[in-house]
Amino acid sequence: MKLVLLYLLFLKAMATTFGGTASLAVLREDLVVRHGLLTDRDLNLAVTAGRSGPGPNGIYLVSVGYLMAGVPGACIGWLAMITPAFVVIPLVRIVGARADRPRLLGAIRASTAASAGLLMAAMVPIARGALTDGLLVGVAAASFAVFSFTRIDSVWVIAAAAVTGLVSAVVVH
Amino acid sequence: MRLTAIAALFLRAGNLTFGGGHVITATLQRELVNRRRWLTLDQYGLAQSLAKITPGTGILAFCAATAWMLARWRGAIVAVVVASAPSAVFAVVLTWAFVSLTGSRPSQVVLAAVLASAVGMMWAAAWLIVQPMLTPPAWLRTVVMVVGAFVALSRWSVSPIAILAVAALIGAFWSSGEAP
Repeated sequence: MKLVLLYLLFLKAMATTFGGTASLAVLREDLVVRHGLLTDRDLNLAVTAGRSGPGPNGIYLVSVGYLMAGVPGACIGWLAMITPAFVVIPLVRIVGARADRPRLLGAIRASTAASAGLLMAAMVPIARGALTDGLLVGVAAASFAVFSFTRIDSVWVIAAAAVTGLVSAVVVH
Repeated sequence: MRLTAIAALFLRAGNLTFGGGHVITATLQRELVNRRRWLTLDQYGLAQSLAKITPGTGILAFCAATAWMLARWRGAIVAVVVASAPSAVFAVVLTWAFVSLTGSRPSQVVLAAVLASAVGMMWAAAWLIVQPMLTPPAWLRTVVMVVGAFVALSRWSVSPIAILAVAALIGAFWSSGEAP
């Protein structure tokens, strides 16, 4: 796949959503559903790799790029991730004084809520592929609870899941 | 303001903190406003508000906005690059490691557990977006937007961009007494 096209697809996902992981639904629609360039498992793996390290939530785009086109793809993912950030500068200069207008705030907050709904919908088919037995459902539920209701870092949640899998592999298999 | 000082701060905040944007924002607030006094609290608040209405990864927009206040475009570019490039390299290494794990049966079980954990955390990420907006007076609009977007995508396969555009339009006219 041409890198320019990949960049445009990534940029479309990032530039039309608010929040790093909110772009997942748009990206899945393009790469998994429409073009079949990636599987749900690949996408989940990329999110996991992004969540396992430091940095912003949108870093998973680098992993997606790497899975699709190696190191050049990762560079494209990184470029697409950072490009929209510079849009804020004209905003600081021009519309900063209007940022508290009710209509604008209402539009932002409504689309942010909708992006959460989209994220949930995008995760349904991914979950169907990933949660194939009781242990994995338990790991997902425990991860949800720890991540939602404690301040424990995501890297520890992932490490605990890996240890659980390792113990399961040794004991059961 | 020296670019090296800006680079050093954003390099540390962006790459040595786990947990995404909230943790990075908290680190930068302490350094920029409280310790170094490079920005006032009002400047910091403006950057934070505008980063929220900027598409893409909000924390990178926040880095660009605060660094632009310190050293204009040069500062913004340096801050965004140093805050994200090392993490990006690390993400590539982790992705390579995860792909390599698919060789043996025990590795597959470990990877399956890690992927299941990611599913749980992504659901949690959605919950953490919604949770602060479930308080009066905006809770009803929030529920309608979340459920509507979920159904529109999962049942009717409406384009996510169209869904977000409609949500923004509805939000602009469905006032719930927004407070900045």
